[in-house]
Amino acid sequence: MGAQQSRQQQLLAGWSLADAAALQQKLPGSEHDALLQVRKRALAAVTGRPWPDRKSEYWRYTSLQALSSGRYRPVEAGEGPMVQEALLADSWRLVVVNGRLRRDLSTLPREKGIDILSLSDLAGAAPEDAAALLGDWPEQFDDGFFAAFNAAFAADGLLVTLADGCRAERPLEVVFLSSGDGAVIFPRLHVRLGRGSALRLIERHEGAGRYWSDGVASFDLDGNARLEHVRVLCDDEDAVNIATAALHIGADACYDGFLLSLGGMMTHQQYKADLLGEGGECRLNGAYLGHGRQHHDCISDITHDVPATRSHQVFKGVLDDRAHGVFQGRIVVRPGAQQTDGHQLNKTLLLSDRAEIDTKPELEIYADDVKCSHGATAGELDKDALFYLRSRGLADGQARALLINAFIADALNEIGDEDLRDALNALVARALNRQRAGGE
Amino acid sequence: MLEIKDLHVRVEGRDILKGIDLTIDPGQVHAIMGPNGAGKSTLSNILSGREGYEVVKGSVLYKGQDLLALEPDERAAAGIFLAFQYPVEIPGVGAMTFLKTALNAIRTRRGEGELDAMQFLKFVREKARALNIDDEMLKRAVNVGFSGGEKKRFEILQMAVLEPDFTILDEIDSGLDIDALRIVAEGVNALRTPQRAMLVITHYQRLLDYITPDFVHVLADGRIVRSGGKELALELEEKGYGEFIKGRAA
Ligand SMILES: Nc1ncnc2c1ncn2[C@@H]1O[C@H](COP(=O)(O)OP(=O)(O)O)[C@@H](O)[C@H]1O
Ligand SMILES: [Mg+2]
Repeated sequence: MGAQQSRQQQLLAGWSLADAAALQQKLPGSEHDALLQVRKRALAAVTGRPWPDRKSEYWRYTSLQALSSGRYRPVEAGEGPMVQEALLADSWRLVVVNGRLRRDLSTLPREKGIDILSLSDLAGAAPEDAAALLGDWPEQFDDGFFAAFNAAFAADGLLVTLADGCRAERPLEVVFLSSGDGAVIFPRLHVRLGRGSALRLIERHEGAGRYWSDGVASFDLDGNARLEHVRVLCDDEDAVNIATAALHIGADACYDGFLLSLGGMMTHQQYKADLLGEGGECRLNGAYLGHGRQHHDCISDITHDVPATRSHQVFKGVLDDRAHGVFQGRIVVRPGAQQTDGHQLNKTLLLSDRAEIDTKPELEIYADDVKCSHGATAGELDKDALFYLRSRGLADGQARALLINAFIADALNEIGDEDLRDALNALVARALNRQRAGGE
Repeated sequence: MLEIKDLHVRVEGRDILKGIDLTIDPGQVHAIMGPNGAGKSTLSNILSGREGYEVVKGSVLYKGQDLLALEPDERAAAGIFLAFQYPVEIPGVGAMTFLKTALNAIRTRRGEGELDAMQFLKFVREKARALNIDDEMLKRAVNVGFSGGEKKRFEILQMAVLEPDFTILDEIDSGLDIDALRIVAEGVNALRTPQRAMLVITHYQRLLDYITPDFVHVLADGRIVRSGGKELALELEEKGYGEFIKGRAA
């Protein structure tokens, strides 16, 4: 009773509602009433209710204890860590430090049809539009708790728009850099692809310190648009990355996404996808590597709203030490959504007795002419294969690495774009090397 | 080169090898024949360092050092090669990558430099051609989707690439038709030199028409029950194993 009450008075441990309201007043754009009202509405959505806990469908396998009781505060803009090298040499690059776009560190696209706006730009020019963008948070997971939390305090955000027919030549790399012990950071990324446009997007999360990143992203694909999107989590090993993404996929459009979870103490990634037009396709694949006490959690919820849409998911993970993985994939086929093709596969390699994977597929099918499948496996390295390799001269570590790489490569091969695939392969190889060096 | 003395091996609490004595000198080819379940594969596994075998008694010296103390990869580097009775499928690892990694691992341990991609390709293509292995097969994952015969030829290709000093062939002839058998045998014979030695394990004497042994041993119920020259294989073919097993029991 007492705890419940104090929870209502305090949004974060030791941080009162009055503190929260005061911060909202100071945020960029709050001088516009439309924006301030949205922020207040968002704040109201997360107050007066407990945090999600293990009773929530989405947090069954993941504890939020460390966050709800730890000392965390939203940050004012601070200095970020060093900017990392670009993943792809020829990419346009947007650098976001602690949630705010830093033009001085960015190389903005100079291609006709690509428009980059920050939320604070938008607030100045069209506060109503900014308010609409901020106020449109996905309510799918826990009534949108963490998405609303972001909307309440996000100081800035990115809006990437491609005009109809614009096919971006170079990839766009968005680097979210976070820092600060106990800092809560609110990245926001909105991508809107006009009819028949195409973009290759790399989203990277890196940082230093015991921060908590609470992100929101949306991807709206108009008819025939194509988005290749790799999301790479390389956060600090003491950091938490929770994110909610909403995908709206139009007719004959294709979202081709890949989630690579490498860093962070805890990552919890929620994707809500709606296939809204016939011929639409959602590819959501991923790989996770965990060691120490890392926790990687991926939740997907894909709805086939109309006939003749496809979804495809392959998630593969390698977990060592006491790492914990979670994969929850839900596929919903709405009544009338005939000729749906929905496939989901989750495979995990457990390198230690204490590593753990929880996988929960869920199919809800309300149409009869559909092809849907799911599968999940978890196992150890094949001992016979290990011996075979060692009998050919490969040292134990080398043989293991080869088998682990082969296992993960299977997921990475889902990435259609060769440049992106190569870049991610290199990241994975480096992470596995580090993991091995650390483990021995 | 190899000196096995009074070797007793237990698998999952059962005695499988019950006192093996065998000495193999450089240049020699020894054949071991015996019925199913005699312990032939157990012997080849123990020599190549597979886990799960308990040496209860006895010793194995290889080039004067204690073989049983070495890790499987150390044995490979020291020149031991086992052609598996049942080659293992490794999804996701390309046959070429596998060959190159193995060759360079062994070359590095021997203090020879690694081969670069071009040198390696040329080297392997030549060996593969001699074994009637086409490029298409080498583009696949290790042993995945290989026919029985392809698996055996791939074992011999590995042997040809790694150029071991001491080779164990565990039923390399099983599943091979006569043409494939001839090709495989040629591959094996190409590696016979006065410095190298081999242990050829087989169930049938047919293989020994193509790979002529210097000595033949009959292994039954974990023991070598008879040894002789290559004519022993013919005698076995004629009389069957029953004779030998009975003879020992009597
Ligand atoms: N890993 C194992 N676990 C249990 N029994 C085994 C194992 N390996 C071999 N054996 C037993 O040991 C005996 C000899 O097997 P093996 O060496 O494979 O014979 P061979 O190759 O001569 O046919 C058989 O009875 C077999 O069942
Ligand atoms: Mg056998």
